[in-house]
Amino acid sequence: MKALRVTLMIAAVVAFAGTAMAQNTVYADAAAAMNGTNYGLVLDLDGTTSNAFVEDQTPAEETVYRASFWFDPNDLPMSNTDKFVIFLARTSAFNNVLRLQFNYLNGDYRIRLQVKKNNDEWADCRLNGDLGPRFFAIGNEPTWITVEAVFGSNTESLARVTANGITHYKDSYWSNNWAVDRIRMGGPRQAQAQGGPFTGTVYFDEFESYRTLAP
Amino acid sequence: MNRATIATMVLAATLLAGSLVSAQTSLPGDAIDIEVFNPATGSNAFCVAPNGTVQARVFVRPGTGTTTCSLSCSPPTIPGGSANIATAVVDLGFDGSRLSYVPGSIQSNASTAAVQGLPQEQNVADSRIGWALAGTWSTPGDPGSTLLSPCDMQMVTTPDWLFEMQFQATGAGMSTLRLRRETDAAPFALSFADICGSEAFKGSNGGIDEIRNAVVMVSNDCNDVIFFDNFGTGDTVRWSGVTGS
Repeated sequence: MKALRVTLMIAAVVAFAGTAMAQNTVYADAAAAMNGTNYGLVLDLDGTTSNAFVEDQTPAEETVYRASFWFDPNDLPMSNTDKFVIFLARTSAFNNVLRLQFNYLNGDYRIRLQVKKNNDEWADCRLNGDLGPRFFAIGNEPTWITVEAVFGSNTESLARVTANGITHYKDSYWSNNWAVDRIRMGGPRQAQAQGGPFTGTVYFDEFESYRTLAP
Repeated sequence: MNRATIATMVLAATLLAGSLVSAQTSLPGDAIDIEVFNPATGSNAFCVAPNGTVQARVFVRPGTGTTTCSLSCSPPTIPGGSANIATAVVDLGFDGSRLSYVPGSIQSNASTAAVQGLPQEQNVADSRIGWALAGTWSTPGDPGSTLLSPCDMQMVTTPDWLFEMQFQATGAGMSTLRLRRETDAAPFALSFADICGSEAFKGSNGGIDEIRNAVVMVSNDCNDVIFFDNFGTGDTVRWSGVTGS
């Protein structure tokens, strides 16, 4: 009996250790390669809620910021209205000021860009600025996504997301309190997620960023 | 001292510091490191306008491992080990749909023993450029001359670039200047050796421990670029940080 107890205890410890070690991860892999590259970035979600992302700290208080990258939902199992942040821009004081949400609804994978206003409220980019849909479908395939933002006065501020020839934007708001000093790509930041935790993989590739808007 | 003189001195100091820094990303150690780098920045990245050209260099940092061997010539004791590289076989792959090799642009570093290396352009059509160091020719870099005795062999003993070459941007997007290696789908025996005849230094036996590819981005906005990566190095080292790795 004692031997059985010891065996059970060992099994429990091993199982606990396995649980404790579980975490979402990001890594480069050929499976995530898009647009003819050799490698891409895998966001490997294992059903836990830990953060997993790559971070770029080369932005330096950018008041105009643009980033583009390939993204592939890769059949990630999601339930209706589930969402999480796949791209996040932050200030030097770690305020989140621009976030791209990845969502699922009725068979469509969708994205939405939100920008932080000076009053600390998030504003949605929509098809016609203040009107029209907030999310739009990107398909279950590699998609080139561009997010842009200008932080300034109410006549200067602009946030914009473009993919598959569709652009959603937001303007006419104050955002001169903010500037981009670092960004994260990956996810899911569970505090900003809805639904989940998620299990599966999504892919990113060919990330590029500029201190100008798209030409 | 007038303002122009001070400005000139500052500029000279800056240029000197820049040339000295040339910050390769690999670190010294017992094993050999090899990188493709941008001589203008020291980084493993290039941004180039459409149809523009990039000049890439291949840098090698010999290891710190030393040994000696005795040969039947004078002087009898020859330095070996990873710190004394006598031969090299390097092959660089590129994306032929985005970059084209500028014919004849591959050049060995004349200021080092690498001047003895021979460019290998025969596989350009397969998007590969090679470089081989086989020994010391009586006329540097001329395989038509004779090979000197191993006892007179020059060796690569200090960190420096071995060879450089140019590519023209012919397509859009990002690509990778990739040092081919044993673990590739089409394996290539990237290797170095000393003169003592010991096993060649390879990635598989720990003789080479850091291999850094370079990312090339073709863009109209290189002046405004902040950061780019296609993960072509096979890892996430170009990023400032990784959470969940």
